[in-house]
Amino acid sequence: MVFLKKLLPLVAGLLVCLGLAGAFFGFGPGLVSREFQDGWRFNTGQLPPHAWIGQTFTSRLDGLARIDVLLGSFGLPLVKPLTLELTAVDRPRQDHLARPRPLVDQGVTIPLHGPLQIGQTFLPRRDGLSGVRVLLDAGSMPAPASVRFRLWEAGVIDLPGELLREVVVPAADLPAWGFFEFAFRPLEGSAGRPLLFTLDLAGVPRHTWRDKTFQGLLLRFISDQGQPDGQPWQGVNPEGSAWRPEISVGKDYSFNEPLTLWPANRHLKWRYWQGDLAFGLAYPPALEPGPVLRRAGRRGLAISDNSFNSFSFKPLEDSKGRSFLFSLKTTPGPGREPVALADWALRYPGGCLVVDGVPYEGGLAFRAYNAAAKGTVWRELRDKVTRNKPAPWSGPWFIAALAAAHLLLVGLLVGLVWPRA
Amino acid sequence: MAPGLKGRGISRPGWVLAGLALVFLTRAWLYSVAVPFNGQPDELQHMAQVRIAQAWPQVEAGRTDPGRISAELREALESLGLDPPRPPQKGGVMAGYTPLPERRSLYFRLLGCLARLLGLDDPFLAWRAARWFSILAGLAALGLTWLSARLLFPESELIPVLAAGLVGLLPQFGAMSAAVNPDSLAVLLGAAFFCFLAWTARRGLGPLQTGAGLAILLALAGIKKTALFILPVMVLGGLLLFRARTRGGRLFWTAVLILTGVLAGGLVLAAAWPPAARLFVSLFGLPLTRAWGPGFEPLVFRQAGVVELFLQEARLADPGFWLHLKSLVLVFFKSFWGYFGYLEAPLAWWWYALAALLGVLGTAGWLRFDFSGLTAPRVACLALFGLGLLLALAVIFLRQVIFAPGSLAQGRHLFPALVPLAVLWSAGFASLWPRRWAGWPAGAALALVWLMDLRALWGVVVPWFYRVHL
Repeated sequence: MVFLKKLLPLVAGLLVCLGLAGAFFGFGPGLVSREFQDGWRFNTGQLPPHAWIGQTFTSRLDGLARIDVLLGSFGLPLVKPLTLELTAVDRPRQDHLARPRPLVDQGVTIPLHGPLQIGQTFLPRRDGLSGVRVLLDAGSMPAPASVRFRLWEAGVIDLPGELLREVVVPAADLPAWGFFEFAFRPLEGSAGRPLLFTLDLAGVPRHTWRDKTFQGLLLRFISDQGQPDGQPWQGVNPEGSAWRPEISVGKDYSFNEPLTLWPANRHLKWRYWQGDLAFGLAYPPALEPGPVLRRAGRRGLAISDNSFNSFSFKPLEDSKGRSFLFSLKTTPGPGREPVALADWALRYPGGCLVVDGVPYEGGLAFRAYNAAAKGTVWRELRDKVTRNKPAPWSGPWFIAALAAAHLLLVGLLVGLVWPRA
Repeated sequence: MAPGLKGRGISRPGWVLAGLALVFLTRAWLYSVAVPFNGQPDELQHMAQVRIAQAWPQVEAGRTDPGRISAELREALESLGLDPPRPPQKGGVMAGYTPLPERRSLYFRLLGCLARLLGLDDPFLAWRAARWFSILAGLAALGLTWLSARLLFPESELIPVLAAGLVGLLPQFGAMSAAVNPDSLAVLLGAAFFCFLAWTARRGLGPLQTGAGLAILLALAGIKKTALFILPVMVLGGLLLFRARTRGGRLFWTAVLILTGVLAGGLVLAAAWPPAARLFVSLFGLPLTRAWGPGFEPLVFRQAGVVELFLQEARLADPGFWLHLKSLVLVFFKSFWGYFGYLEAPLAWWWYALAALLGVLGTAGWLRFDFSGLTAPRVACLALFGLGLLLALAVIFLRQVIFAPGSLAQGRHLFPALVPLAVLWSAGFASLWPRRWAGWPAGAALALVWLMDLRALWGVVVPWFYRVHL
């Protein structure tokens, strides 16, 4: 009797722990992921309210129930909420994929001021080029000033060719820091055509040049040679380079080399930098999301930095063999917009990155999960954990026994301590 | 005196410690099974260093070289198909990294020597053995935490349970104790050092303790950056003990004067005469240069100096600086409790909120802490514990803010100070509640940490590495 009385707390502790663990493991459906891409090498930039970013994929299982996306929040505890929408698509990957824009948080800031002109050559992958997004900061630009964007044929080595488009935007309409799209009438036949865009300022009052707080229009330059504190980013845009005209009139301290100014006579040589401006190309949407099949949201407080963030929804029973597009949009709320992390290599074979309806070469870091029976999930875990491991780690019973022993020991410990407390 | 459970308390503390140790062992073993190779930070590099140290006689004889050893290790582990998630940036590390052989710290030499003695030529076995070294080091740290709390609070049986429970159930500590990482030796030696302080505060300083203290000091001299904060605590602790031995007489003050003079003179000489600075670095500065990264030496000895650098980096009027600091603190806090992989797999935010609540309660308890029952040496030891903890935090954040602003402060860097943290938190937490029912909140706190650990292992680590949700 005394023995049983002593045993009772231990049994009670054991039951409490086993009950907690049972509730813990029994709660919610089991999920397995067959469609995924874990890696990332660049962030896709903050999502403005009107924009969306997504990924196409083909589900190999029924019961599509959750999509995890690798997001960045810059270490901030609170960012704007995100909404994920799932739609069906016919073809998860198209031909002539656009190239994703380069990193937004790398490189050095360079000023565009005075009569200086800065540009970038590039080679569009798709027809119908309709805009160029440039990362810029117009925070110190005076109100009457404007920025002139011009699109040229790239021409021969050192001369721009025919002027194709011109857009003038008041400085007041430009962001203090962010991508701005210089939109123009779609350019037919742009695929594979070497082009050049240039930026310069107009309407800056003369006295502004003497103002030491005036920084001009700030752009971001990513060097192929690497920054003093960074890695070289080769292959960001192998089909073009940043450039500026070559006339030395002073010293540019941001590069520790001669400063060049836009010459009165533009028939002069151009100088190419070994690197690129931070920019991206815009095309008319080619992949419009269809009717929304599922929608899920995630509050800004719950978004983890540099982690997979889950968007769960009611399982889609007939998802096997179907192709889908999930898109992410920010919704109004406090804080900055989070960013999605992506890779510019097409490492996931079943789909591609999609930005504002344009398919891009690359893919978001994502995992699509399908609901599955608990037994299936445990079997999958067992196979993965024990794969290729020599004994005794290859034994699933060994791992199960270890997990059970852990629970039993905690239960016994609770039974040992609890009644004394 | 802090409330305890004496009279109606746990009558078998040894059993409880044994139970906690077994729970820690099974749990760390599970982490070791679940986390694939290179799943925790830089495990490939650490393992390559161990293999280089293991094959050092052959390297010296010119029969092999570090690059070849690293490549063989990588190929061997890849051929096993351990399937670690390898984002491209880490794939790059996997593909071509060869650690510098001159960075063979005490940890790598020790493990390399052990592997050579045991004849662990199979890379898989060597890797498992190296992970088991970390597990055993973690287990020893758990025991030393218990012992330190018992030594400082012999009247209370709750505080040792709480302190050891926190260490034994802390998710990040469990995961790091299952990875090949030099932190494990730093944690063990840090725990040994603080336990040594508690021992001398309670039992005095005999020849055995002096020997143990000197051994810890010698071992710490060759250890990594995260344990360096201990050195000033050690100097202060040594002075306190010396003062107790000489009863604060003239001999003590003469020693203080000599020590201060030597330190001040050395600093002046090093500041004024570059050869002396270089000599200082070459003689004593290796751990220091490791602490501040490779940029430290040129920054200190070829440029304006640390103070100017600090003023340059600590831009107090710049909101960006505070934002950076805030994000550092957040990541630090999260990764102290549980942030797995290469800071990629966190718990849900509310787990951290609950953990913060535990921290607040443990700190608030010190407002109610009763010092009256404590002897002077124990109070001094608690003060040294607090100083050690603060210094550890200061070193971590100064390093992040000044010398490595691009990197992230990781909570595991605080683990060498886990003993003072656990003991101080437990004492505070236990003091917060009326003695009659202090065991209930304490049990609830440990239950919360256990649930967090359960969630971390099965709900975060397993899904992150194996893409299944149970």
